Amino acid sequence: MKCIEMNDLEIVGMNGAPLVECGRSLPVARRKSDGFHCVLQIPKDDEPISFETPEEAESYAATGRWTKIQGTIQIPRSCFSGDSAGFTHQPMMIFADDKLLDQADRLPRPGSFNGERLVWRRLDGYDESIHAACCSEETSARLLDEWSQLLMKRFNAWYYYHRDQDYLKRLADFALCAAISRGLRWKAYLRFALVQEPEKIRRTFDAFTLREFPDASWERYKEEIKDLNDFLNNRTPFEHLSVEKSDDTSTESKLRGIARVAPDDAPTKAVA
Amino acid sequence: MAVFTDLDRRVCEPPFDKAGYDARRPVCDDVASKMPIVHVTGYKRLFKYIFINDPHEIPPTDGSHSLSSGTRKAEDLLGFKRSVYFYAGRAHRKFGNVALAFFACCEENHTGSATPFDSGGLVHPRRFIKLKLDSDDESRLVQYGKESVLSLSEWRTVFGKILAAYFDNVIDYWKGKPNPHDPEGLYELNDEWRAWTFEVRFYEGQSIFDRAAWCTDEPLWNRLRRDHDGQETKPPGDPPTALDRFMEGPGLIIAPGSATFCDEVERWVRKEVGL
Repeated sequence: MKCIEMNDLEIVGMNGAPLVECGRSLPVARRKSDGFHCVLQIPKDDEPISFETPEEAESYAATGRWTKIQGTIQIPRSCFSGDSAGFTHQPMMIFADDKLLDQADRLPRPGSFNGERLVWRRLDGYDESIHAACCSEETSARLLDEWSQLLMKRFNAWYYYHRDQDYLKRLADFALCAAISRGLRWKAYLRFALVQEPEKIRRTFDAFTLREFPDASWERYKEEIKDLNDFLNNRTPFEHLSVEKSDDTSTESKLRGIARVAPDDAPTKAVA
Repeated sequence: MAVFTDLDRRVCEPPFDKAGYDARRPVCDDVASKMPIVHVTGYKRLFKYIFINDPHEIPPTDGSHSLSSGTRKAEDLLGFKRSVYFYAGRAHRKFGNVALAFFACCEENHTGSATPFDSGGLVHPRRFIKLKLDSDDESRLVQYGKESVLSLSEWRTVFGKILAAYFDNVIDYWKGKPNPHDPEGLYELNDEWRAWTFEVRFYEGQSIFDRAAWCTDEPLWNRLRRDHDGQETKPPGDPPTALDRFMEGPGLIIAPGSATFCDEVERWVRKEVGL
């Protein structure tokens, strides 16, 4: 990478703000030698990175364009090779609220994932339950997808046990915030719709779901919601295990895989 | 003198390549005439535009946040009115996590001006844009800045000429840099694209509903979904909320957003101008 000494950079924040309970964003890095800051994106075509003065960095943070972390984080070793070579992987900040991680059974926060070490730091000006770490883009996607899957497993179990709608909606919302891969996002949208106020389902479909899945149709969406409702209501979380080996590739079969393991705190239906 | 001063005559002499310039002009003029302009901001400001501020416009520099102070100082030095800022076809991620792109036709109802570089970088105390001037005095920089001002009605014509004169290939406006043929070294001494992008300024607010395209990062997309879901349902016939109107407009370029949303917007721009 042109004009950048890797060892001269440290991560001090992230682009944007933690507007929801989890997500990812480009890191903000500081050049130790002069205190200048940049939004750290691997440059294309040998384009130089644009650095800003410390004063400007402060103003970007003050206006919510950047968010500072408390302390610093080293650029992950997994993102570059050797001291002088350039980036091999795009570094990415991943942030999470403990409230979400608790529901995903991922507290304490993971110290490593996908072979990468995760150093968590609090975010300046935000609740102490929100932390951010830096890892490669690939790992950030996998970690967020894992959280989304865990949240949907919990959703599936509690849906069967008729937990209150606000709680279920919160779980589905969290799962949507976390999901990165298309498949998981579709599943999360279906679950979100299952527990939305009925009159809002179409509105969300038109404004958001359809934007992400332009080939989806409203009729098909309604059918899938109904199928999912039937499926989740008619099989206990433990029954999901028994159908997992099916070779069936239908939508229902794919949905079965989501709820393979019941969360530890799921009571039996008799006591729920 | 500005990079466009006396350009029709200068391109006839070395180091310019007149034959190449003539050959490139048709494509460059076409690109310049179609080039969308891009504004980048953050969620807090977008939230204000969408939810609070009727008529839901990106406002001219208003001093309501600390970023404006430097911009207003530059405006005062260069004699610009308070403005809404855009870059021609480029998006800078440092300004936030939402990029809004507008077609050329949005300029029709505005007054404003343009310069062939980032004006704030020119007069910034750190001199982000470097020049070979006979003096490093601020007054000399201001003079250069004022010489470089174009009206809204003429900037696209000049932009086409600049693309044809200084860039071997128009794609270098994004992926390369201009040839260093200007006397003051604007294209020689600077490696950042803020030195060769055209900055377009509107003196009136710009409606967010008139955007041609937009892109954001994943957290903001999820936040808008949540905000949208939190709205009360309205009976038929009631006017839509500003957020409803915003979401009914052109969709996100990459749903559900991307950390590299600025690159995505620039990719969209290049497609729009046929590159």
